[in-house]
Amino acid sequence: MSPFWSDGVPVSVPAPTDELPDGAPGGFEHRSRPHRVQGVSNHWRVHSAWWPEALAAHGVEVETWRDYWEVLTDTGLLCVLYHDLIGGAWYLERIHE
Amino acid sequence: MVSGAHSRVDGYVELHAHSCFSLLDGASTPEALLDRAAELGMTALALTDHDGLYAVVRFALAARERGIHPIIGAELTMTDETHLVLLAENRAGYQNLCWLISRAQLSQSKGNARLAWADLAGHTDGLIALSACKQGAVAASLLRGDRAEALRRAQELAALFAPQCCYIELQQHLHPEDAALLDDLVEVARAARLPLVASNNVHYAWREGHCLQDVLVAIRHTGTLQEVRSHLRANSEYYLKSGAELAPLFADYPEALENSRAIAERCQLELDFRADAIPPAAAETEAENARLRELCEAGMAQRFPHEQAAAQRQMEHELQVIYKTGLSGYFLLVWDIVRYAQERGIQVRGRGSAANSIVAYLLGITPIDPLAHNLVFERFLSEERRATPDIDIDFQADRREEVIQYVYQRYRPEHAAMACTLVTFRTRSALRDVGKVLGMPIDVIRQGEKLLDEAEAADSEPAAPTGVLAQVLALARQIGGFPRHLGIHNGGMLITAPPLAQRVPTEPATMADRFVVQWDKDSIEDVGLVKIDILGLRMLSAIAEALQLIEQTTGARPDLSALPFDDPAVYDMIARADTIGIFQVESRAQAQVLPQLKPHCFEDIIVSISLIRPGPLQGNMVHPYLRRHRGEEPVSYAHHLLEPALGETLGVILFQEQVLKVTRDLAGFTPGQGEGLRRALGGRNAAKAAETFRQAFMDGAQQRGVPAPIAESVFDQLKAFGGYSFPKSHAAAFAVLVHHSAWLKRYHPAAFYTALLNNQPMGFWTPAVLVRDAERHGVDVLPVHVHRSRSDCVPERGAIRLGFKYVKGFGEEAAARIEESRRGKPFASLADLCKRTRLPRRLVEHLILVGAVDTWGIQPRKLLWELARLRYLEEELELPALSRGEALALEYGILGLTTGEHVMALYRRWLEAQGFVDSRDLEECRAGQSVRVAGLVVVHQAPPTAKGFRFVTLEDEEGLMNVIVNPSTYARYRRQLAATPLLIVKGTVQKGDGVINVIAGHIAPLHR
Repeated sequence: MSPFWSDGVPVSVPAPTDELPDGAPGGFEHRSRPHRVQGVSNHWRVHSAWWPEALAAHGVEVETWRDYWEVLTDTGLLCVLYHDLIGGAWYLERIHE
Repeated sequence: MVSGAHSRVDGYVELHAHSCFSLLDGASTPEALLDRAAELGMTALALTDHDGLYAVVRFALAARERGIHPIIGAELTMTDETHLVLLAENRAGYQNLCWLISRAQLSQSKGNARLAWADLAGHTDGLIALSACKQGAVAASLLRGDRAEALRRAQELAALFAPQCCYIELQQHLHPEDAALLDDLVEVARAARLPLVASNNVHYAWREGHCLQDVLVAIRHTGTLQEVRSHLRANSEYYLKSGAELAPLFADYPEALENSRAIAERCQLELDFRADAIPPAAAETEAENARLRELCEAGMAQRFPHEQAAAQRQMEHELQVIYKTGLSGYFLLVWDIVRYAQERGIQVRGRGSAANSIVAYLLGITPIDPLAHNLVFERFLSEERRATPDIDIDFQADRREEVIQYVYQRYRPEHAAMACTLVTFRTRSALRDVGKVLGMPIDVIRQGEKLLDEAEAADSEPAAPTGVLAQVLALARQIGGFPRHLGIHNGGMLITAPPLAQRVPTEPATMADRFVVQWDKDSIEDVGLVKIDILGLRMLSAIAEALQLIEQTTGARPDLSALPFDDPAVYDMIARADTIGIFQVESRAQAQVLPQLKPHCFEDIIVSISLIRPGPLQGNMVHPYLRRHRGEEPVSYAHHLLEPALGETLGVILFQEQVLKVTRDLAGFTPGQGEGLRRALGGRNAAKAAETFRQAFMDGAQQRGVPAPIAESVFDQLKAFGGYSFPKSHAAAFAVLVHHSAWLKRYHPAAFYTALLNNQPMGFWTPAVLVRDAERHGVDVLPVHVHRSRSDCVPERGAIRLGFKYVKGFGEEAAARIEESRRGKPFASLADLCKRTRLPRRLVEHLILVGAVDTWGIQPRKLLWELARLRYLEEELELPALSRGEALALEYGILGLTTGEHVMALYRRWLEAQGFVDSRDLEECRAGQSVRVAGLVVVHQAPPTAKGFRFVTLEDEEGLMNVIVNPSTYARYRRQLAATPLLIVKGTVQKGDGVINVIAGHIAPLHR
C-alpha cells in the first residue's frame, strides 16, 4: 500500500515577513543555500489517514496533518513546503522545474 | 475602520450546516452544533440537512433554549445531481420548502430524493437560495472549466428567485483548488450581478468530528476507510468556525461574511402551528359543538341508563372546557374513526389519558367510566394547559389497515399521513460498523462487544480499553443514537386541515403506497399539530375471534362491555398467577407479583399493571407497596405534604401524574413546571435534563419548610421513577382488557386459547407454552390432521384442533388446497392425497412428520418412504419406526410446539434417577434448598432495568420454573445458555408469597 502523501526533506524555516499570510514559511535553507519566500501562490491543508491501516502503511503513530505552501523564492524557485502541524517541523516536498 | 471589521467578523452566521440527520454524512447532533455555536457567540445558525426537515423542530427548540436564532433550511439534490441550499425567510418560504422537498421525495424512489429544476418555478417565494458547495451547479461548471456554463447557471438561478434572494456561496476549506474556485465564483457573481455569501458547509461541530465523519462516509460506501479513501474529505476544515477564523480565508471578500448576518436577520420563521391545529371542518364551530353535545347525550342514555346526575354534571363541565379550547372538531374526528370501526365490527378501545374523560366514554372512544375509578378530566385536558390532548386508540390488529384506509379516504392523503419514527444506531450495532470500516479483525470487535455487555451488566463504565479498541468504542459511542433510517410510526396519523405539504414534507415509506411525514411524534407534538394514534393490538384481534367462536359454538355472543368488574372467580384466577395468555398480567414479572398482591377488585388490577413498569421498578416502589398492601408495614410518607398526592397508592409513587402532584405539593411547582419535569424524565438524557429542575425543587421545598435531606431524597426518587410509568387512566383502560381476556380464559377457555393461537405472535409466551397451559386447563390440543384441520386452529368438541398454519411452510394457499380437495371425499391414501392436492413434496413430508396423515394406520416412516417412491419408484425397505425422541424432536422442529407428550417426558426417568426435581416437586422444596432442575427454555429475558440479571423460564411436562441468573453466573455460562433449548440448572430455591425462583449457580445443556 502506497502512502497517501510523499514525505519531504526536513528544512529549517524562519518566521514569515509581514507581507506573507499567517502561518506561511519565511524561507528555508536547501543545499546550504538560503532561500527567502517572496510570495505564496497556493496554500492547502491535509488532515487524514488517522485510521490504523493508513498508519501502518505510513509506518507512523499519528495521523497526517499538514499545512502545504506553494511559494516563490527570491532565488527564482517555485516550490512546495509543508508544515507538520503535529510535530511542528517543516519539510521541503518539491521544487518545480 | 478596525471596529467595523471586527463587528463583521463577530456577526458571522453559519448558513450551511449538516447534522446527523444528513444520514451517514453529518457527524454531529443538532444540539452539538448549537452548543458549538453558543460557544462561539453566534447569534443564529441555519440547519440545512440533505433533502429533509427531519430535525428542524428539535433544532428550533434546542436553539431557543440556548438563545440562538434558528434558521430553517435544507440542501436539495437536483435531478442533474447538483446541490442547492434553500433557507426559509418566512412562512410562505417554509411552505414552499416543504412542498419542494415533498415533490423531490415523492417523485423518486425511497431515500433517493431529486428535485427537477422546473419544479422550482412558482415555488420560490419566501426562499433564499445559496449556490451550495462544489456540487452546486455554478461551482461544478467552473470546476469542469466551463465558465460560460457557470454564468448561464447563475443567471438561471437568479431568474428563479426574487431579487436579493439568490446568493453565490463561497467556501474555503483549504483544498488546493479552493482559492482559484473562490476567485472564479466571485467573477461569475459579479457578471450575474449576484451578491456573495460565505459558508463553511459544516459537517461536524468541532474539528475532532472529522474522524467520525470519515467513518460515516465509509459506512455509507460500505468499505473500509482505506478502500473508500477517495470519497473522504482530505482535511478537517468542515467544523463550525467563527467569523474570526473565517475572516483570513475570505480576506478579499469581506462582504461575503457580512451578508451571512444580513440573511440571518431576514429569516424570521416560527414553527408553531397551534393556531391551526384543529383538523378539517373547524369553520363551523357552533355546529360542531352542538353535534358533540348531541352525541354525548345519546351516549348518556346508553352508558348510564339509571343514575345520570353525576355523569350529567361531569359531561357539562367537560363540554364547556372542550368548547373553550376549540377541540370539538378533534373529538368528532376521533368519534368518527371509532364509529367507523364499531359499525364494521372491528374491536376498538381508546387508551391513554383520554380515559380520564367522560365525553370520550360517552362517545364510545374509551371503555371506562372515569367517575367510577376516580380518574380526573384535568389530566387529559384543561383550559390552562393548552397542549393538544393525546388520544390513542387500539384496534384489532388484523383489521387496523381498514381503519387507516378509511382515514385516507375520508380525509385524503393530502391531509393525512403517518408520523415517522427515526430508527437510530445502537452503540452495539455501531460498534460492528465502526470496527468494519476501521478494518478491525472480528475478534477485536467481539472484544468491544464484551466490554459493552460488561458495562451494561455492571451499570458502569467498563475498564478503559486502550489502543485501537478504545478508538472503536469511542467512535461507536458517538454514533449511538444517530438516526440510521426512517421508519413508519406504529399508527401515529397526522391529520391537518390545510394540506400537509404546507406544514411538513412527506416522503414515501418502505411500504408501498404509504407515506410518512418527515417528523416523528415528538416533533409533531412540539409544534402543536394533532396526531391520532391508530394502533393495532393483537389481543383485540384475539378477543374478536374468541367472541365469534363462542357465538358459533353456543349461539350467543357475550357482551363484554356489559360485564361488571366484580366476578370473584376471575380475580381468584389472576391472584393465583394463572394468567398465561391474559393481557398484560401474563408476564413472568407479573406472575411474581400477583400472588403477593392478591388482586380482588378492578383497582388492584390497575395497580398490578402499573407496578411492573421500569419506573416503579427502578424507583424501588414495588416491595414497599406490596408490604403496605398486605398490612406488613404501615403506610408512611417522606413528608406529610405528600399525603394527598400519594394517599391512594399507599405512599409510593406509582402513576405518572403523581410526579406533577408531588412537585406541586412539596415544592410548589406550577403545572407547567411539573409537566416540564415529567417530560424531561421521559425524554432524551432524562437524568441530565431532570437535574436542571433540582434547584427549583429544593428552593420550593425549603419555602414550605421541608427539610433539605427529605426534599433531596424525594427528588432522587422522582428521578429514579423516571418517565417509564403509566398514567392511571392508561392503566385503567388496559385493566379493562385484562378483565375481558381473563373472563374469556375463565369461562370460554377453548375459544380463548384457539383465538390466541390464531393471532400469534402476541403476548409474552410462545405457542408451545399456550398449548401446555390449555391442556393444564382441560382443553385438549389435537394435532394437525389432513381431514380435520383448517388453516387456522379451530375448536373441536371442547378441544382445539391445530391448524395447518402451524406446519412449517404452510400458508393460506396450501391449507386451502387441502380443504378444497378433501371436500366431499376423504383422502384414501397418501397417493390420493398427493394427486388431489398436488402439494409440493416438501409440504407433504412436513404433514407426515407432524402426524397429520395419521389416518390410514401407516407409520410415518413408511409414509415418508412411500412419498419418496411416488417420485423415484425405489425399492421398498423395512424401516424401524421413529423412536419417541426422534418423533418429538421432528415434531418440535417443524411445528414450533408439540402436542401430546412434552419433550422433557423423554428425559424424566433419567432425570429422576439423577435426583432432579420437576416443576411440581419444586413447590414442595424449602427455601435455601439446593436443587437441580431441567427443562425447555421458553423465555429468556434481560430487562434493561434488571441491572444485568437474566430471567429464564424453563418448562417441563408439569409446568413452568423461574430461574434467575445473576450477572456473574451469566458471564460464566452465557455460552451454555445460548447453546441449546434444553437446560440443566443447579441452584438454590428462593421462595415467598407463592412465588418460587431458582437462583442459578451452574448451567449446562441437557443432552444424553
